[in-house]
Amino acid sequence: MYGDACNTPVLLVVAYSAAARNSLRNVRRSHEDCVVRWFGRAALLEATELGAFLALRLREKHPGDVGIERTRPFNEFESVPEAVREAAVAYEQRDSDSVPYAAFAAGRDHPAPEEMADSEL
Amino acid sequence: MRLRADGVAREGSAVELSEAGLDAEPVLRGIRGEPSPVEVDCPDPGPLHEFVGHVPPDASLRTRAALAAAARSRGVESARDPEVRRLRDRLAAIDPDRVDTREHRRRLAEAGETVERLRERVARLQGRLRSRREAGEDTEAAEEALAEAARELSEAETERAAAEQALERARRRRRAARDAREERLRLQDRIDNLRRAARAELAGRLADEFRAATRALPGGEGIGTDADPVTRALATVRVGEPSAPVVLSCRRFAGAGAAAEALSAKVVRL
Repeated sequence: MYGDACNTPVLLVVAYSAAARNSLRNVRRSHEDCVVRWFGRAALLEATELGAFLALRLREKHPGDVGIERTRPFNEFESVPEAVREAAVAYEQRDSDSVPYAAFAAGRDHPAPEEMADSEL
Repeated sequence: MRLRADGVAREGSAVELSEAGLDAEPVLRGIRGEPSPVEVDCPDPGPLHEFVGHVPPDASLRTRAALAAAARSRGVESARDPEVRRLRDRLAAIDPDRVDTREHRRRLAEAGETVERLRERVARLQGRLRSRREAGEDTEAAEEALAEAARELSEAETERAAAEQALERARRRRRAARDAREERLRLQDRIDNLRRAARAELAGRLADEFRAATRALPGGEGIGTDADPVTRALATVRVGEPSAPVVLSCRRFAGAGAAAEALSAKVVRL
């Protein structure tokens, strides 16, 4: 199987019914190589034509009960502002465990949660 | 029960048909009230019949589920039953919308292709205009063509933006529909788990009686859940209260009468 350092895009397939979940499990059994990771109700498939074919088949078989997204590898140095990255590191290194992030940020000039919620990557 | 086969009518709680050369299937259909050459007048079979309504020599039995059905046939209920009923009511109330975004996606893809095509066209026409200018040639027609293409491109970009927004709105609606589907899935899983636990509980309640029955019945091997499948099926009939006659194609008893007595049930023996 693939290690966690997966460098290529993948398709995220999510089942929204028991029958769809079942079919997804069967896909994993019969197309092991194409299934990068399997979470029971969801799976990552290779973003190849075969992966797309398997995902689309599932959607045809279970109308309304299969979600398909395409994901990209996440590089925070390309996509995330330095202030946000630094805030995450600083917060996890804080001394007092019980400080909620909002208070921590206010005291130290890190971005506030509301600001970050309003900013798309 | 009253049973009519090959023009011969029989009555009683034990019907012997071993000389009649009949298969189990027509008899079972008659018991179920379905069209059949064998007519049977008897109460409707209940859920227990699915498990042990027919005991053939090569019987196989999901003992726990069958014993749970036997318990229920006696009116025994599980402590989990009210919760299952409550969850089933909630489940029945969920009716998720169907939000299909396929057409939105198609519209967006087409709009994108159109924009790309028109961008290339605009670029070509810009190139043509430039070279005509450099060559000192008349540019009026080329300018008009470029202006027209630029207008079309602008319209196409507007259409693409509109298609994008429509898709986004549809996706948000779909999220709510999916929330409902997830809730439905969670409820279904909880119900399945509770029913499984209820079956274990009910089967457990009859475990001692079942064990004793496997010992008391003639023939077979083993005791309790280790007994052979036919013994387990027969023991399940005995500890349960089947509403309709049970069909036996196995040969454990001297006759239908002996079977009916040993099993405390109405029997048709083939």
